[in-house]
Amino acid sequence: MSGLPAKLSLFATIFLLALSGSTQSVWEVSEVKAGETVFFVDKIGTHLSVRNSNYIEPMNTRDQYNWDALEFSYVSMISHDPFLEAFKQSFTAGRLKQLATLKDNVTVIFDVDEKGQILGVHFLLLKETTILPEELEMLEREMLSRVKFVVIGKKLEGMFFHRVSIWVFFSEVLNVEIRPFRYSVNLKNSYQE
Amino acid sequence: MWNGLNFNVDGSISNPAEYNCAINTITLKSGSSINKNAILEELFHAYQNTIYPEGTCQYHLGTPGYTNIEFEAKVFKDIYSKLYGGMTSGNVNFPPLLFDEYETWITNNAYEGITQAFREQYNTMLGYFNEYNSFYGGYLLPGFGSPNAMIQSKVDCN
Repeated sequence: MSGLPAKLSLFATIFLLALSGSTQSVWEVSEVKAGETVFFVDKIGTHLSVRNSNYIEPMNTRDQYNWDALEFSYVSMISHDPFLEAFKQSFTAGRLKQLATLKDNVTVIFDVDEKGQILGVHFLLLKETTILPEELEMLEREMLSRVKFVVIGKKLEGMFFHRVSIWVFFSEVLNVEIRPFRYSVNLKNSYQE
Repeated sequence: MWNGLNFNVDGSISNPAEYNCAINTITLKSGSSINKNAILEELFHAYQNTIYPEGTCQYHLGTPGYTNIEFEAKVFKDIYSKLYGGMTSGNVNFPPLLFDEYETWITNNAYEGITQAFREQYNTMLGYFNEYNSFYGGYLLPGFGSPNAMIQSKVDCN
């Protein structure tokens, strides 16, 4: 009986390694299908940049607002909980635990216009991520339907956009507190005039 | 260390906060500007002024080195923002994939600290900043491509 925990631990390790190895290849191509969605994948050093094929680059039609050069204006997330809920709806509890154990993480990058409306979202994943395309498809859908922004600072009239980048570890999702996201929510309290 | 750093409030400035090396003063636009994201970059500028020989006034707007000084402060702030939340700004107006490249570079640094890989890529990112940031770019000082104040800050904070 004394060897059982060690065997279980080994089994868990093999399972996780197998899982890691099997999903790594999923993202090693430039186009990945997930249900109705096609993701375009670009390799960037240690990471993968992943965009839905429907994603429209805002830089083609708008200017990214530079608040260093112009009067301060930015966007802040309205609430922390919908962002958290988007993860909970996209990953089972078991998967969240697996991803947390593997220290997997994702950067969610929102494009938000001058009125606070989300124009699009894309993701940065670790090259060795175990996140599945179907999970990312769901996460994108949940993000776009749940997360809302509010404009802080100067109200802009032109065609501008902001990029809002949030780095999330799955351990934070399990702990129901995503610190960078909480900060973004709190930002609006600092700048309300 | 701060050589008598001063703080001031002046509602007429356009940014939430700014640092003037000539009078060693951080000016805040209003009470609401006193938040960590706005003030961190300016505190780092004040720190740079104490680290670089002859201070940083020699790198004022319009002179070579201005881009280098501003980029280092952006990187310092963006690493903090990546860890604790806030607005990253060192890659404003970068083309999409270069924007992502900067994000991953900052993320790796936030996770691993100042590694050899980070230092090797620093000049590349500085080059992007010089090229794409229309406000701070154009005043690059070649050979001034190491984030010495950022590296020193790790020593001073330990």
